[in-house]
Amino acid sequence: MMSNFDPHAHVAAALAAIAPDVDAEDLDADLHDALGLDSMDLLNLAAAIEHSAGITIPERDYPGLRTIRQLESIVLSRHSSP
Amino acid sequence: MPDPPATDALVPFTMPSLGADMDAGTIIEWLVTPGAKVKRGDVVAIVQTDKSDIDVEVFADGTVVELIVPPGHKVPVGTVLAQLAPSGSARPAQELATAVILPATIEPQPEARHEPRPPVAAHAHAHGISSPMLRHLAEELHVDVQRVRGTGEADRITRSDIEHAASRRRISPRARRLAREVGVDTSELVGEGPVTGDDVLRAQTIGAMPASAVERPRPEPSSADTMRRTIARLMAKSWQEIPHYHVGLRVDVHECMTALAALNEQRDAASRILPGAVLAHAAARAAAAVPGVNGYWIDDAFVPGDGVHLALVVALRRGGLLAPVIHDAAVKDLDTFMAEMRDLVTRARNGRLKASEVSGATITLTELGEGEVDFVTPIIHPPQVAILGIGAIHDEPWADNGMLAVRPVVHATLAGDHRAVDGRLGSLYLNAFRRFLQEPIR
Repeated sequence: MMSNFDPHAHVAAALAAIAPDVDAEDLDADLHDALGLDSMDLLNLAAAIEHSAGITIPERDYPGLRTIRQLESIVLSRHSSP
Repeated sequence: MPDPPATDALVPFTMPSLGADMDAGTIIEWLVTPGAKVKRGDVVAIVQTDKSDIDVEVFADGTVVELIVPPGHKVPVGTVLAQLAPSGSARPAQELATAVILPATIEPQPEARHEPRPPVAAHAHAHGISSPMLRHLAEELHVDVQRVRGTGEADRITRSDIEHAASRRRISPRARRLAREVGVDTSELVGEGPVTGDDVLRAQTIGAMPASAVERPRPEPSSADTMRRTIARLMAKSWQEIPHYHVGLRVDVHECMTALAALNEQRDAASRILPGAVLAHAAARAAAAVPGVNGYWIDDAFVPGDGVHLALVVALRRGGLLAPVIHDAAVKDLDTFMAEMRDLVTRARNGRLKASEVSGATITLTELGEGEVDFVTPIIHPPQVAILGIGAIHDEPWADNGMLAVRPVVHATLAGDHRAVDGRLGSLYLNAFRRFLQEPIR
């Protein structure tokens, strides 16, 4: 079951709800500068992913978070070791 | 079929003016059906203007009797969209009298009234008005039909001509002064009853900060050019007319941000509080503590705000700005404030705001923390008299008790309208802002 967990699916679904104009496949684009997400968007994103994936993403994971790829890596690690 | 309410109890729900340059709107969707009970403040329709889609609220309790204008039809401001039967008998007799004589039909050629027409001769009204109903309407609205240009067939005066003329006439003195102050064309402000000062402020606010963040497909996409022009007009007017001064204060937010991090550590993301909300909450409370910065400059006098209604400048991803308003912001606790800020900012960027959510601001906050600049010297949104600008929280060398430390610091800059607010008040405001940030987070 654990091996079926797809962090990208959760991130893409949350992104589609919160910023539908943002391309979730652009994994290495800068969330803030290139994709235009602000801190409220990131909070909404985290809340949506926490809800859908059943995990907690603590605030201390945020610093250094710049890309969708990094976000997916945080989601995966929180899912593997909550 | 239920008995229709007595016709003399009906009140019209009309196309509102949602901006100084709006003269027509399109119903995109009705959110109610005939027979639905509505309460004052309920959103009953989505209206598309040239710039944005706005949720339009109803201004009376009652029952929807008839939806007159179907979705997809563009109609002039003031056109009766639906008829309501008000609950109770609280409505003024004048309004009921107006309602009963408004014909429940769509003007066949709403655009016609915008075509240039030769002036109607003084005697033209004799054949200009064919219907006793319209004559009655003109009398009721105190419109001198000799001064109305007919735009119907053979220059006949139509219902909307009379309503349009009525809207030009019935303007409160305060509304007239305000309109002059903020550059709103009162002829665009058509609605029920006389145009009030609040109508003008609302039109000015919405016109200046149009929402265009709607992401779903639309029949006519919002115009970024129009938004740019309205921002340009407001900012140029502000910069030309308002003698701005700026005062600044650096605030050490170490304790408050440490406390916030500890609080958020205990919470899931959905209930966390952003640093920006803590700063905005302090900005609102400081405005309540120093009310001289919270209000309007109207007709060469300062008019204090009736409560602190804090506008938050929100940058849209596709460009442009929007300024949703947290009403009575100073008396809300931090959690309530954050929840409302989250809702408003999220919908400003992705969804739709209600007409009431973009109007009534008494002071504005612009937080440029997202852009990682240290400070901003903002421009006042007239007729408000102050705006607070906040830069990003960043580490700075900080002298503390003779020692040098590194602290997270935020630069707060207040712009004041020197006609209304002296530098000392601005200074008192910033010191109150700092004081609230030094209080424990509750």
